[in-house]
Amino acid sequence: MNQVLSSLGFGIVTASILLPAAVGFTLQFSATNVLNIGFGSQMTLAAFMGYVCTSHGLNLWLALVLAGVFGALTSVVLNRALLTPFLRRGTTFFGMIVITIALSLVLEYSIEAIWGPQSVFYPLPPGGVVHIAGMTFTPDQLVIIGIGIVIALATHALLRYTRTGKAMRAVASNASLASASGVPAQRIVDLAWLLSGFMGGAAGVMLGISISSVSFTMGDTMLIEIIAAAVLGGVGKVYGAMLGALVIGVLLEESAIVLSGAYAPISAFAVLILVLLVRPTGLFASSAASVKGVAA
Amino acid sequence: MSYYVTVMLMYVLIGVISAWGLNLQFGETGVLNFAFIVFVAAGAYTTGVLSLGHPGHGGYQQYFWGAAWPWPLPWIASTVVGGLLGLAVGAISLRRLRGDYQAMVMLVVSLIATYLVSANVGFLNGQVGLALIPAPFQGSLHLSTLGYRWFYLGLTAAFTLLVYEVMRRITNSPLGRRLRAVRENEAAAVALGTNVVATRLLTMFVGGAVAALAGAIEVQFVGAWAPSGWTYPETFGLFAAVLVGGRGNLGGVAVGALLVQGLFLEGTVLLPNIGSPDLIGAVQWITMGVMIMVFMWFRPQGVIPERRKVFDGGGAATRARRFRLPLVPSKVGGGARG
Amino acid sequence: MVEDQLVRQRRDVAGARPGDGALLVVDRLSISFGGVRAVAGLSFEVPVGTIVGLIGPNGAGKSSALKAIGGEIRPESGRIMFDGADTAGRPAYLTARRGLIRTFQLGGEFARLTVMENLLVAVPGIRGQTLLGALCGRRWWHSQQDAEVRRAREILTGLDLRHKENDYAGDLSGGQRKLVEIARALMARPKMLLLDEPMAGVNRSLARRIESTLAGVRDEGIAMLLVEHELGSVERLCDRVVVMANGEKIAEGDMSQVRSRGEVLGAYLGGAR
Repeated sequence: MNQVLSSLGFGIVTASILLPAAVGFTLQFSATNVLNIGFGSQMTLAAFMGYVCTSHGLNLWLALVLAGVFGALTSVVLNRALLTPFLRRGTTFFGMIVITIALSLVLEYSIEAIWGPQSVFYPLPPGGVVHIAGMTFTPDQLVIIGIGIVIALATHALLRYTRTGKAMRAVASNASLASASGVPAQRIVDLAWLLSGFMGGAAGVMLGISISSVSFTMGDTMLIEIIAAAVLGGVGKVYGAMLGALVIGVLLEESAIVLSGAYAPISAFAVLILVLLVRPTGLFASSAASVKGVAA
Repeated sequence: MSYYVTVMLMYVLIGVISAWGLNLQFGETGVLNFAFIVFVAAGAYTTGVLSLGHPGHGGYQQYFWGAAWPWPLPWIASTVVGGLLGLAVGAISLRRLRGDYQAMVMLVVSLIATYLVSANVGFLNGQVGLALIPAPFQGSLHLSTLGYRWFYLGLTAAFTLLVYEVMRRITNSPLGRRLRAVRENEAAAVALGTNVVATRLLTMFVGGAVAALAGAIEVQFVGAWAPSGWTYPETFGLFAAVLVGGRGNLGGVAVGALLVQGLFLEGTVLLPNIGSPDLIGAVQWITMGVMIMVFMWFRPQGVIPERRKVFDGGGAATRARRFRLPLVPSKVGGGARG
Repeated sequence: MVEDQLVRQRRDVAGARPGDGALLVVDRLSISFGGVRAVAGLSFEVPVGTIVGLIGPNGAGKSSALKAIGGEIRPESGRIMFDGADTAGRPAYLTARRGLIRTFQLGGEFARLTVMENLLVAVPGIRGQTLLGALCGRRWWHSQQDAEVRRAREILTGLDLRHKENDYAGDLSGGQRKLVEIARALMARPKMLLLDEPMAGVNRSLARRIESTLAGVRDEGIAMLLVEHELGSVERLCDRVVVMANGEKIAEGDMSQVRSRGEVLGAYLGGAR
């Protein structure tokens, strides 16, 4: 029981990191219909920017915000300078995946070329532990959970209550229709990439804090978890991605009790594949009518 | 030097075989198999355990089961395992899922496979992998080390030709046409009576078998096989080869494999003294990424694009021409207008 | 030349079902999408060798009905009998193999396949289409394919597309692509065609050619269900017309009868509003 609770604590931390990343990934996908394999590498790059900030003596949490801003800017620039031109050229959905793969290779190995293959570390302040309802957290972990919650709530508020958010949802469901009805699609797309870049960048630093090191391949594994969360939630569904992140995050940690640690990731992905076999559109997709075909 | 040449030729041939397998799935049929490297690995492990003999005596490596089958049985077994695994993975990911889900699930399958094999030491020696895998006829041929390498290279070349012939027959046949029809327009293919799922499963089967054969050949050349050698970015390297060369064109894909593999092996020669081996490795991957982007922009059809299948007057599929000959006899043209 | 071709097909059709009445029977067909009813209790028949028009304003449920008949979507209830078998809810490719071939309103071609290849894809059960057949090599399949190429050329010649046979289908004009689709459907040796607006967006002379082709096809014994907005074409081609509005059949008969019915006009005006 104790073990279940403490693993639940870890699970919540993992989910809090996964949540902004999965929401960001989903925002990009729903705004531009690009499956961005480079997302993990963008996160890693931002995490290294956070490292640069801290090594210049900046406060860790300030570094997190700056890394988020850096992530947001690179995200918009990459979309404008690289992906949009290819899309305008009529590159197919699969072609775009290949482009983002190439992007991921370039980013990831540029990081290795600059900072080397070894991990780098954030200066983590020493701190005690906090007990909450039988779970044990470090103060850092509590802040991470807090950031996760804030980002979830902010996203909810944005999508529900602001005009921009409503426009974003309109663009996500049908870009050409939204454009015809006066929603400025390009600005909304920019905004979606800006937000997703921020969330990815913040998540990168949060992951670095949580596992207490940052390496150039960090985004690879994370990307798969993000994809698992996004697919579980129903691709392109922001709230689905949030729930997916929670499920995958908790599952990753809880399964470590039953299985040996090395097997834990497998169980989460096995669940994902099982779910997809039963519900091909993901757990939280609303109905069959909302499934839009993606042309090859 | 000769030693270096054999190594390079081996990797190019193995790359060509794998890329042809991937081309059948991606280039011809439009299936985005991001787990492709798993099938190469399946073939390598199968041949590995079937040549190592029964496990447990020395104890320096563990694997769940083994035998010492004579060549070519391990290669045949690898091919069968790769094909069946292709059917299994295809049945999970291609059955009812949309294209974007398929791609993501394939990526997840690739990662699960790596985790599974790494985590379970008793299965295929975990993270360390299998080593000291014997090569066929090495004991009985009495060749020098270099002589044996050339022999093995010849064997590989023969199998490359075999795979080429299989691929050529498939892509030039009515079956190849059906594969391309599924790639171009799934709904229309269905409306003409094509079972699209079965068609994709077929390419998962054949492509998986070919990938596994490449793995089998590679493992007996290298003598070792471990999870770090088949992580999912390796699949991207093969995609690069297919894209750069020209998807849907066997010759083009071979050129692509030559370029990509050549870059990786020659890279150390072309980029001397710029720093640590890590840096050189990084620069190679960056170059590959940039190369993919440049090709997708300037030459999306690849170095040698897919050939248009032109039918001549006799009605046989001929090798395509660069430009179309005027081939309408006046009688036909007049008849049509009349 | 296309006539010879079609005479052969007529023999096939006649041989398959001697002296039978209805080739397609749609019986109380209902279709819903996420609780919204698109088609409600639609019933009609398509006799052998006739063209039945399915008309109605946008959103009347014509396309949904067509998709269900073709097997693309599963109906909520009702029966679809084609050639003596209930095809409702069965996979679309099996329905196609029974001889019910549909064409698409838009984008039905295989763009990066040549016109000739587009036609050859449709040939049912051609040798070399299975893995083993393909591995046997050219010798196994080429003589049968040559025969099909000749048949395809006859059809293309009849449609004045012979000179385009080695062009990519994606490079043709919109009207030519529609012709390729019809030609392709004929290559499948169909018993019946489901045509989704074959005249939409096609210039007048091409539309005329499509019309006369379809009339010729019908005369050779192939039945058709035609969804079309161009009422002139419907009147010239169709033996019977089924009018739909709001998912229901509101009238049936020949075009002149249907035209005189007030509710039909009302439905069209209502749809236009």
